[in-house]
Amino acid sequence: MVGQALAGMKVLQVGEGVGVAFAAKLLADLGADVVIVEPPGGSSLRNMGPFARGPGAGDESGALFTYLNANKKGITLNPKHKRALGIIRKLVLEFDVLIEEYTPRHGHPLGLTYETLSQLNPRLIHIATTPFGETGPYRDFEESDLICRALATTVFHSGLAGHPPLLVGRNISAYFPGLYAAGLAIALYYQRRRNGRGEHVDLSKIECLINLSASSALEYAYTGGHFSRGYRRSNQFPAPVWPCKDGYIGFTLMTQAQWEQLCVLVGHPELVEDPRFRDPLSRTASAAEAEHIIGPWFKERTMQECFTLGQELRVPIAPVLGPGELLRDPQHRARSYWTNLSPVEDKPLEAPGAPFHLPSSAWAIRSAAPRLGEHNEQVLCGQLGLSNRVVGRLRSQGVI
Amino acid sequence: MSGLPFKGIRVLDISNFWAGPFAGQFLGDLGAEVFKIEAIQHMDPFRNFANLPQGDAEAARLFYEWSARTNGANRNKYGLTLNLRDSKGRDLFLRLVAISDIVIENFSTRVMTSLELDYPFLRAANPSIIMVSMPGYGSTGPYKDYVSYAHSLEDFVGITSGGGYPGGPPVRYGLGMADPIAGMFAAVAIVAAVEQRDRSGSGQHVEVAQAEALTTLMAEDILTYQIQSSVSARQGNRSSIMSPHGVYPCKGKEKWIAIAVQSDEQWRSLCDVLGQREWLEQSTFATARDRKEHEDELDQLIAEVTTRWESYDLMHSLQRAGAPAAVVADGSEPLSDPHWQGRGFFQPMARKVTGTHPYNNFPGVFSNGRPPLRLPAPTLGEHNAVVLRELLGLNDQELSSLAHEKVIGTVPLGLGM
Repeated sequence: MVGQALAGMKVLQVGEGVGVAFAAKLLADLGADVVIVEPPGGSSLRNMGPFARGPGAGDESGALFTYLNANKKGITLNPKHKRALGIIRKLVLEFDVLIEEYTPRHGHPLGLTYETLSQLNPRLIHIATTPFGETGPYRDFEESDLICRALATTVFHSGLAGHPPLLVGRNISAYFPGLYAAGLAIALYYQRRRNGRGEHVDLSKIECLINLSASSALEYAYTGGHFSRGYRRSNQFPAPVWPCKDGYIGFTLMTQAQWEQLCVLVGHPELVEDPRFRDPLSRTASAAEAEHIIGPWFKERTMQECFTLGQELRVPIAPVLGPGELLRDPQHRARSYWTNLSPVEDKPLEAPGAPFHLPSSAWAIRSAAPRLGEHNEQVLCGQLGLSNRVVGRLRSQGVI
Repeated sequence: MSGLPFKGIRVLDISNFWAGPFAGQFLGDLGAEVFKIEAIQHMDPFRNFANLPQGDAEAARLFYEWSARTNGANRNKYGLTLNLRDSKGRDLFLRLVAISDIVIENFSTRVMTSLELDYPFLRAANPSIIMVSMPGYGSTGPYKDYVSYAHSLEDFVGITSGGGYPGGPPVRYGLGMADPIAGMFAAVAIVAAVEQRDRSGSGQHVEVAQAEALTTLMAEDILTYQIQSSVSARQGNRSSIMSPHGVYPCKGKEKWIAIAVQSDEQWRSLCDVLGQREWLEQSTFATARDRKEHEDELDQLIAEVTTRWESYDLMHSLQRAGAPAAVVADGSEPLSDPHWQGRGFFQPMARKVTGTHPYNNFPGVFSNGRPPLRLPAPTLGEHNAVVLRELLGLNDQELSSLAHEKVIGTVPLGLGM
């Protein structure tokens, strides 16, 4: 796509995880030419619901697959077929970046290590995302979102005191490492223009994820201790989430001024002088009492009222929104943030739009996610130079 | 390490707390020369999250150098202080802009304008500068002036709403994930702008509205809501499809194991390892659907068994048998874990004031190893003299006079709030 930041970058997406699809989506949306390589039966992600028109409505794929793989082309390949290696060889020579997600226990989806890939194309940039890394005692562990998050110390510290640790956030173990994969792909592509060399990155999901733990390992190293789970901690007043009339709002109080504004907001300015609530430590000690006095104001108002009135006084309040409420929220609407993913024009299916704005690289959904093998001819003939006849043979032999 | 992608790129990171600095750190890790620019009138407020060693009076005095959060988010950076509200400080900053490539800021929308340092000014100093702004909600829209922190953004986009025990209220993520995530979205945007400039020669003003970046994570919930007209209730550590799936107690205080069974084969492995083959006879546990239906009973039965196991032993036993399981590690456990250690993830690093401690390495091992930790997080204004002398040609008298006028310095005047 001429004029976009990554115009001309050619990317192969290998693996069936949400993470690799997301990483490659970031690149595709910035103008890279991304081709997904699926097994002839299709990526398992196509079968993951929900389905916009209900399961079994033709060959429609799940909504998440559709969202993650817009702006990309798709080819199929059976890497186990004896004729596959010739195709892979040509692909690897033609493309700049191979972005791959795999679990070492189950092997590379294309059956190729970087050693082989770099022999085929020394200029190839290979980003290999695995759950725990390509080396180490946990290399061959089975994974899931919960498993990765737990091992990366990002579950232990969440939850309420007296309850088990709590997983908060869905599939963050796909998205956060995906951001690293995309950032590294671009950085190494930029570097290759200078040094002409490819590169391999062994990217471990848990090594990315541990960064969500606010340096808790370092905190432990500094102090010999680490904070416990739950809201009643020394720097946590008030309890973060409070009920209001139609849901919940969230607080974050960072400064004395914000506490004072909160007292004004709820009509209790006298609390500022009250010795029970003078500073963060005493507020925590008297938290239950403070909440008893302040709570009713919020209970009598809606999320939106608390949010608007609070922000007018610069109190950092936010509404605790669910997806329906977020879709209706005026801020995203005012910025035309949502994009329409619908396969059926009169039935909008909105999805997140541009995650950032580069004025010189306009963001848009230019094409829908590919149907299975939709671009076999375009890529194999158009880009790799195979004849239609050869491609037909490959298809009948089950290579693609 | 033969060479790093961003060697030769210079970044002025004037951002605060965590989101902006995290983006700057990614660039620094990949070889850029990053200047973390604070002011003694307004040091980075993140420094207030101090983690003081017990009974250390000197540490308490220099509390602002003891923030693990700040020191973990600002490595591979040089430290400067410049009072941007002072005309001399502002001039020096613009002279740095003239010889830099990127400026990162995450102030609320009006600040750069009020400093007369918004994009038109920066571009006048350097036509190819890449400026990166990271407002909470966006530079436009009804919430453009709203105050936000990581937790508020998690509340707003829906991360908080999705978290919580079954039947209970929403529960936040304990440590603020929105900041490093928004930081990495910004990092991707910045490297894309650098790549684009390499071909076009032009800079641009990049905006990363953190609420927009973070909403990307909610795609599944957003799509599900529209298609099913509802979203699943909070389910603690459970899954809509997999069972058993959760966190179970192990032997000892606050020791837990996470288990996520994704197939009937893994269910059999779990029963084997736990020595509970009779569960395989129970028709109420035969399929994932059955197990989900009887989840309360099943979770209780599992907990009664896991509580007799050491967490690491159980993890290894289950994983050997092919069942996904992991210790629910607390912040300190990776420091003594053979996997993290074996991969060299923690790097001892010497730093002024705090001494030598293990720091997180860069996640990502290249052919020749990890991009190195070259510099610890700077102390306040640590590199004022060397940077202003070597890059801007200031002499000792000029430096001394700037310090006297409190344009630069190394001791904070306020708490940065």
